[in-house]
Amino acid sequence: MKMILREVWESIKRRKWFSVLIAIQITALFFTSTLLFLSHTQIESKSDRLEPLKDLTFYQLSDDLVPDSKFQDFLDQPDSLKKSKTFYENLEQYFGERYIYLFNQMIDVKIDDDSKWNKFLNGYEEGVPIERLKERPYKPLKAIQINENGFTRFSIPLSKGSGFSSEDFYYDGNSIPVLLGAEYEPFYQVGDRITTKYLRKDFKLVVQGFIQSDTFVFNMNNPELYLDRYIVMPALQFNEAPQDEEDALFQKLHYLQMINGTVFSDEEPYVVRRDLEQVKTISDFPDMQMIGANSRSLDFMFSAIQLNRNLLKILAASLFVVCILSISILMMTKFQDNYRNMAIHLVSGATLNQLFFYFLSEILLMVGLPGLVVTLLYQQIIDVSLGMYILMNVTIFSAIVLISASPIYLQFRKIEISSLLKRSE
Amino acid sequence: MITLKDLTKSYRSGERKIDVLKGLNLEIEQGDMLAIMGRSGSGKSTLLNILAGLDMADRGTYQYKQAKISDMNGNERARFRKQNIGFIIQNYMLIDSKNVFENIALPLRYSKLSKGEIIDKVDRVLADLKITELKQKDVDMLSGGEMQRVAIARALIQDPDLILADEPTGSLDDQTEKEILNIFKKLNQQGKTLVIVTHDQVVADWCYKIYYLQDGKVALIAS
Repeated sequence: MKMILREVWESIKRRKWFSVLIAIQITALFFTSTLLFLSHTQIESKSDRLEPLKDLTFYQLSDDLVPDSKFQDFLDQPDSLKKSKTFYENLEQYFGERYIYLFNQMIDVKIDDDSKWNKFLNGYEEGVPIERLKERPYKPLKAIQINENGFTRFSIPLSKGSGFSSEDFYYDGNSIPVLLGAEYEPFYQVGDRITTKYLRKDFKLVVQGFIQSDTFVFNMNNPELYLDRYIVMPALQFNEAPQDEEDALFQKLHYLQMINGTVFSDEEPYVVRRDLEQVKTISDFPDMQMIGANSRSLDFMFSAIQLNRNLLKILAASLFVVCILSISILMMTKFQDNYRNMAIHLVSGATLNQLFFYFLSEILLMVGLPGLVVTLLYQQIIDVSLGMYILMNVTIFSAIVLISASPIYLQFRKIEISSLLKRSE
Repeated sequence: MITLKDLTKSYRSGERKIDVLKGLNLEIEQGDMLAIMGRSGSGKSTLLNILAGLDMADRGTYQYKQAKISDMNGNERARFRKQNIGFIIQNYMLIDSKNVFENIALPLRYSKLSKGEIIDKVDRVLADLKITELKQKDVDMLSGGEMQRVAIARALIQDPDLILADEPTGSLDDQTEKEILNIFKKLNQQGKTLVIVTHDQVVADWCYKIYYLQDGKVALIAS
């Protein structure tokens, strides 16, 4: 083994810059295939999950209760809760599964000061000072509320526990089932209870499951909202009348949020607009408008990802070919240069097989070392589907070694020792 | 010690078949020191390669003591070479990237010896050839005579019974040539068998037997 390593090292030193160049190419190939692997695994799951929404246009609804005085006037109306509640129910009835409510409303949770919670704080990614986010006993955590249509159509995948049932979207006066993002997994278990304030009202949450990592949803404001650090709540409906004024205000605010959802439809805009006008009329809620249609946005997003993937594929294939050509050329050049040394090894007791093994070992080292480094980095930093990733790298490694060693193997099969000695003179 | 019987060997050069050895017979006794002479292309180096087990005859038998080398496969011949043959190749043939010690120790790397044993053996052969001071030198710092001594040291490192030398003094001045031939003589006196391929009559005259290779056969021309 020592002998092999020594010979390989000497051989590498003889054309070290060429060897370094090849090592860089191979590292680039492994990095590119890593990107391809990651994009492939992500796109596959994204494509499958979001396929039903892919071809739809989405229309954002927005109430017209601005400025603040108008909003306050509406809240002060005695039937404002009934109006907004009716409007929401009619939206669901008229638009059916086309109406999706997905709102990004933080919730306040009683947690300790440990820094492990920092990444879950609402405002953490935006750079709001942590001290400010933690100044009150209830800390603002990132959360979304989603209606049943949204939950069904986004097909949010779970790693543990169970998803929401239809009953979970109606508040029963007890605890609210929630799903936690993947990064919450070390800190909670299914069945744990969390004390919280949502829109300033006290609630008990119960952890019903955990969402798979890298799961994203989207709405008009967020083309990719990753849920790893989010608490996902059902957009609750309240059948019970408010118990007091505070409760009434809560329900009003809650329903006013719930009517600002999104319509996903493959119909023409005027059809959606006509339906909305009908809902407004029968609900006696004129202060609503459709503020924008995002046409084929998902198509665009998927095309962009697909285009990148194609570019990556072309890059990886090119690098693969370049690596094989470079290694083959290097090895053939070394073969031509090394007649003399090979002859010396032969008269010293080596066999042709051993000489071929030196060349093969050099290729194994040149390809294997960058491959190993990239794999270890992947394991340390990313560690997603490691088994499949290693299998992919072993396949690439084997293909490069086999193909680039073939010309040199054929040379060894062809050569006669006598001609080797003759050429070495 | 060695019996070559009815050896034939031919090469292809494009469409043309060149017969190099045509039924060659040769007996070499233990302790012989013989020269093989002949014109360029007469097959001297081919004969030496066959004796070393580096090449195979197309037909005929090669017997070394009790072993039938002509029936051996590549690995068996490599083992035979390692255990019995010291080969001094034309133009010294040292590996530039290794120093003197590493060049001499090369054949031992193909044996299962410890580092200590390798160092002992190299030191001994360096001392025998009186070149201990060259041990750590790079080979490109050596003179022609020094390089040939190092090549001889490498050939002797396994303590072989048979030493084969292909034009061992081809590029040396007269004085160095004489020194090298003295080393060969001394080795022969120690019981080694030497087969030297040469064009040089002076070198041949140092040997006890001179064979001439012509038309694919050897003939003893002096004894």
